Amino acid sequence: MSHDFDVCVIGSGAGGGPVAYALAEAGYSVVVLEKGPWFTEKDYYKDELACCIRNAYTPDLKQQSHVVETELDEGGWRRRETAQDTSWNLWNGNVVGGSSNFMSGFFHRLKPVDFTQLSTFGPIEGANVVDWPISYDDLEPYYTKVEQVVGVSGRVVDHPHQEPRSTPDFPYPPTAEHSISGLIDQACDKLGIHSVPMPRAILSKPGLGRKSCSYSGYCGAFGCETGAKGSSRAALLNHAVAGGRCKILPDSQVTRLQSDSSGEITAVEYRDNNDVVKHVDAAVYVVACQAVETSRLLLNSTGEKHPHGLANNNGQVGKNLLFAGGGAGSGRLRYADFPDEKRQELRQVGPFINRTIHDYYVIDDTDFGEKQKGGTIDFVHLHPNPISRATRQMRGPDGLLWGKPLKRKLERHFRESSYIKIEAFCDWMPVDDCFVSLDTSVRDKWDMPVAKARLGFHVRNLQVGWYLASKGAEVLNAMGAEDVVSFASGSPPLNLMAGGCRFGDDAKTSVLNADCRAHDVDNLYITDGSFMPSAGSAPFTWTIYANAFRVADKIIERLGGNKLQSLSS
Amino acid sequence: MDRRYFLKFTSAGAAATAATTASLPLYAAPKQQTAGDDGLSDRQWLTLDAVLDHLFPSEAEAPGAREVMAVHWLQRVLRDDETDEVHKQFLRAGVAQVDETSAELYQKTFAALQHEQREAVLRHMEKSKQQGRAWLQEMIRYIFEALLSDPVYGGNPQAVGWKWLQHTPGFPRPPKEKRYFLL
Repeated sequence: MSHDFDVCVIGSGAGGGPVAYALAEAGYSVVVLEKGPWFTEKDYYKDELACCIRNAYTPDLKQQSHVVETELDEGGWRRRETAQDTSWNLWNGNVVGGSSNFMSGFFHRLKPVDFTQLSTFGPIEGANVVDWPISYDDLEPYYTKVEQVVGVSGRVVDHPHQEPRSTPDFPYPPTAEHSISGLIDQACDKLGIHSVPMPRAILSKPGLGRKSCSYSGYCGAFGCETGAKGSSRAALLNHAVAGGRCKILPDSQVTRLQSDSSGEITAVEYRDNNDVVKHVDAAVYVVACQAVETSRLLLNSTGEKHPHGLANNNGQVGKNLLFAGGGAGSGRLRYADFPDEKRQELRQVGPFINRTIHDYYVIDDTDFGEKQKGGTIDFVHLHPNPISRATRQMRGPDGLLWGKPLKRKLERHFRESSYIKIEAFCDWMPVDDCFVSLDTSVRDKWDMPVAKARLGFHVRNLQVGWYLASKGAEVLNAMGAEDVVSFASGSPPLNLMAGGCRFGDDAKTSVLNADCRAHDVDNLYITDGSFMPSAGSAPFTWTIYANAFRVADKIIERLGGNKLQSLSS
Repeated sequence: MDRRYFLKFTSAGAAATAATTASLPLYAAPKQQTAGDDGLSDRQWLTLDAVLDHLFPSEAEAPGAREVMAVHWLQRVLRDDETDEVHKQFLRAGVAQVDETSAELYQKTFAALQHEQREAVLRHMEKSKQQGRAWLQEMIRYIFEALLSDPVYGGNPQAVGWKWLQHTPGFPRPPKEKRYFLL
């Protein structure tokens, strides 16, 4: 049977890029549909209005919104339409390369224990904890592949929670480090814990056809103008397109996956830049639109064999939505507390902190309870965006601050200290009250129902979040930081989402099989973070990349292996 | 990007820059007494200018709302076709509320009040008026946009806000043709 393309990938971010790259490299024709525009290095500037205030990289919420439900203290759910309440924006970067363009690139592998949580720690009441259908060993070669193909910089050090590696060290040395990194190392030494260099998906030297980092001090939330950041676009899609077998269709919003009486997908229906309805077909379809939109697309794609949405015959699509987060904190290093030469170092803008603590990945602390899954603690610079920083200063003890008192507060905030943030990641529990469904009362500009995300959370997130954040605070205190605070939050970080189409061996409790192919749609694969049954205890972009490369190999095998190798042999 | 929007936005920007170069307050320019396409009368622009000046006053060592042309920033927001109409109404209603509250407390327009009276009016709005606090918060936020965004957008002239707060901007900085609304 002839198709327009061998493979059709919907979504060009961290889940779609590896598939497009690997399939094109194996000699297959690939089309990538991306709803947003195709920006390149020439379009990305350090512009706070563009990235973070006027939201130039995400859709207009008046035309394309979501509905969010959060739990009320008194019980019940508060419903918000994001068109009205824009602070709950679930879009994270709708451009070629997706939100990987705007990541900070804090890269963490999962650890073996993440794949066997249920069998290692037992069930948790109110949480849908399961073991993964694959093991760390299945994914390890692909983590390594990401290091080499996407470009990960870092330094392996010996510590009790170092995950197994098939190579001794990273292919790129660590990015330049800020003076604060050394202070964290000293504080951790004092406390008897391990300060671990944090790997980054940022090139520390030119390679892979890209330049190295320019250390502008503005990374997360901004597109990268050098190509050093390992976005799906810079690291994968540019190469795939250059090879001649991958075609990217930007400004193409997929509205529906059409399926036939056998239940298989027959075509993708999408709207082009002029809102004209178009179709494309392929032998294999790969959906990677980021968790919420992936589930929404499936739920909107009803068909003869899929009356409740594609791959949803067991009602599992959208369930067990996950996030990465749990705890946070901050502290400030007052320049006045340091000798002159150290002050100059602390004021430096550009180098990264790049420190993380893994000592509490499993918490074995009788004061806290039985042995259980913990998480990682990352130390990062305060985000430099000045308008956002200033805006957080206007709240005074008795109301709004304005006039000269506000101006003096701004001077103190901006001029006198360097700030360190703690980001603590528990293993976000999969629960019944965190899921995606359709909201038929709100439609987007193409008249399709928008996604509704109910964002309930398990109290365990708060407990572990508190624990981790307070351990981070101990480090800041040991560094001599002032105004140290730490806290937990059940409010999900909307930029780090996963789950909704989890993989597993049992079709009744999962959407995908171990190969990330839909249980009941033979030609559908899902390769964004949707497949994850648990979130791990760290940001999961590296895991999404690695798993997408793993699934790409399964698809290549299915289509008959590497066409170019068989030609040359 | 919509070409009409581009023209509209840049002409408003050019007008604002011209007014500033000449060091003239905005309201010195001849203008109709009725509401223009920004929906505010000259008198209301005087009110808004006085509010912004009160919220972020000029000082010898530190720029205020006037130095960073915050009132021009608000004018662009109100004239921008891309600004949500509900938001524009909210902004305009707040200006009207300032003068109403001034009349209620002192039987004068806000611009005619002494410093302490202005403080009393705005605090009264903050504590007791529907949307008063939200509006004041939004005014301060817009002052911060004018103070700390890239000068290419027409605020923060000669990076006066960044210099004052010793803030190091990121690079590369956006050129005129790559402002967010042209992407």
